[in-house]
Amino acid sequence: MSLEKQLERIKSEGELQQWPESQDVLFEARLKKELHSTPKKQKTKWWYAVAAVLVLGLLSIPFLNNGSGIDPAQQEMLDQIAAMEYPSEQLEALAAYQASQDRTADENFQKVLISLLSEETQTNVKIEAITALKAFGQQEEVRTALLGALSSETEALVQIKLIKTLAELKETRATDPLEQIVADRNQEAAVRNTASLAVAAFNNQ
Amino acid sequence: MSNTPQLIKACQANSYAAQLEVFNTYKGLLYSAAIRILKRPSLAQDVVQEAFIKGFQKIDDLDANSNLGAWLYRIATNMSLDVLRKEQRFDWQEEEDTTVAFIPEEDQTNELPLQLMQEALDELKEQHRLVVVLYAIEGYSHREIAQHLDLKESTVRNQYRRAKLALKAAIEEKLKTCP
Repeated sequence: MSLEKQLERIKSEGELQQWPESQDVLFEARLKKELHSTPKKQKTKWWYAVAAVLVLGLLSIPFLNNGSGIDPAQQEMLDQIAAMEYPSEQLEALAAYQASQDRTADENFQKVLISLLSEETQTNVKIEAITALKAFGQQEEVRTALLGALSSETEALVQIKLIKTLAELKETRATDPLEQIVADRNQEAAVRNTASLAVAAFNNQ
Repeated sequence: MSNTPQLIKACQANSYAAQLEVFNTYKGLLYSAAIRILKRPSLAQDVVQEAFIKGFQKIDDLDANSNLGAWLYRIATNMSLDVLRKEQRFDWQEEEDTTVAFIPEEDQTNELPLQLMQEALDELKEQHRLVVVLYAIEGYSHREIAQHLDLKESTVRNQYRRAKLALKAAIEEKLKTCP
């Protein structure tokens, strides 16, 4: 038997690698998002007009701040994470930062994490970002970002993570949006149940 | 729903249940191939997920009587190769200068234990391991490997010959120490 024939047996007779069960949930969420979500509403001309005004406003901020502009370190970190093609790389970058002892860039890191809550980010990266943001949970900017994400997020796994995090942070301003989630029959049952438990916890405080 | 033509048709109709059935049937197979090529589990998991999504998006191109598993498998291995090309993980020029002579092969009559071969393969230099995996295990031709990795075909042939010599040496060494 030639060496090639011997090697072919690794494919045909070798044991299959065990697919991690945790990835099943992520795949199901991704499949729903990419192939089974309803198309987003068409943006109107008004939407573009408002966006243009906002962009112009943001562009003028560096000039108002004596030309200080965006922190180059923050920009570099944002650019690097945004340029990463695979969620695993983004996750590894987040984990690497968290594992490092250098806390000098924490403020920039928070901003990167908050930017990852946007709708384009993949579910598992968002969940990791929320976990990391909890460490900065005493800061108003972070709490506001988590509350904002709770109102806009549509992915059940991320919603559940946000609800649990806000409950752990005892952020009582989440009560109203949580009650809306509980009352909304279009939300997934698991999300409504988690929201209901969080509201009960707030009421008992 | 275990009938494959029926499953393909259901996926073509974008049935979520059918897509999950396909995923659960073939995920281990695709993951094993992706890990063999990429080595990094987290990256292999991403590639496998993307391969299924890409497959479901393109499943209209597939005939209902086709081999669905083999088709998805090829998507996953091709995507793994794309990742390697983009990563530029290896310096392929390192050994370019010297050509290794073709050595006619003597048949190894006995069937070697799979674990021994796997261990010998894992001991190879990473790019040697990769060309052996792609050519001898995954069934890519030298030309296909060269095209996917953006290399010259002669480089791939040369690397494969070196890899095979190194693999034989590793196997012989292991056989000596085997009880």
